[in-house]
Amino acid sequence: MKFLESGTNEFLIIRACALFMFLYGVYLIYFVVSNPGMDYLLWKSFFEGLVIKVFSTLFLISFAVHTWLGTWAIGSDYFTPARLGGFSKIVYVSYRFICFLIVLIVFIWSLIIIW
Amino acid sequence: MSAVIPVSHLQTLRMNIYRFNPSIDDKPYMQDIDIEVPTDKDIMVLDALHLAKVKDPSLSYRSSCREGVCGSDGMNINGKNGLACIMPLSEAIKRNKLTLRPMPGLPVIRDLIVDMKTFFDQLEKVQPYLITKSKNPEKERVQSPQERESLDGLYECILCGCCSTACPSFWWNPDKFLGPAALLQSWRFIADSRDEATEERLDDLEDSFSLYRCHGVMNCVSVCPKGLNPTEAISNIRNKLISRKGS
Repeated sequence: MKFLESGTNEFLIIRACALFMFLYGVYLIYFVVSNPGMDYLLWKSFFEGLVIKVFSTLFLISFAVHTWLGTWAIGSDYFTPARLGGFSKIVYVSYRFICFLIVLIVFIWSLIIIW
Repeated sequence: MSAVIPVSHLQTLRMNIYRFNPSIDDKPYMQDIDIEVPTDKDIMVLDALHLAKVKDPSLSYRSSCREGVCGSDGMNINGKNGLACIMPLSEAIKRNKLTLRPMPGLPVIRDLIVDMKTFFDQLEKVQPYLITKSKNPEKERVQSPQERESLDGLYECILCGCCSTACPSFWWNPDKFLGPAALLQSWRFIADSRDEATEERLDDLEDSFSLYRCHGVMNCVSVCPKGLNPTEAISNIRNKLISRKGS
């Protein structure tokens, strides 16, 4: 079975990405809480560090993969012939295209902002 | 079939029943049938159906053992799947009304009778029988009491279909997602110490749909008339799939 056709791989990838995003979020919250008088300059200098740039990029990759797999699961649940009949294919393809566009735009735009 | 209840205290119960006979009806409709039920003792939903059938003999439903063993009379009782023969009216009735529909997600053959082909096709895929490769022993394949105990809560499934037809994932992908009943049976044989096809069984469940479409809604656990836990069985299979990945 191909790597991406394995339900186990998908299951693990989705959760690993979610865990990484959760830890990244916790670290961001910790940073904000531990700097009560934070201003724009501190915030800017925080995101200028190489390590946080790398981790932010990893966060974005996690977001893109998690969203792509997650929206695929939702789409293949809801937009099925059992629910939508003959329209299911066109609705599903349109939905996937819109998801792809949103993920791509958010990913590239965020990368430009971070780097 | 006797439909007479020998009691003196009776009250009227309105049953609201899904009716559809494809040979004469263009579309399904709900029919009200008033029956007299005893006030001094509890009867089962199946008994109430028998009383309704006296009023309208064209009413169709499946039933057989009338004691929760054969799994024939699974239906949607006031919005929740269950077996009519072991569901007391006192538990089923809401606002003195009893609404009965066929189990959702399967094609209706007539009234409360559904076509369970999809359900049994999915069951067939998990090969619900012992598969052995080693030479047959002289007498039997023995199990320790502990190994036998691990099958408790799995072998009791009566294949009524209440769980699978309450599962949204099964409604949406009935041809791809095996459904809780079939997956419970799959785990029943994976967990069986005498079975020798664990790897092949797990291989068959490795794709994105067969097992992984379970989203943990747990409707299956909520409706199972035998009190079984298909979600736990699915979780056990998933853990097995993940752990063999790491080994």
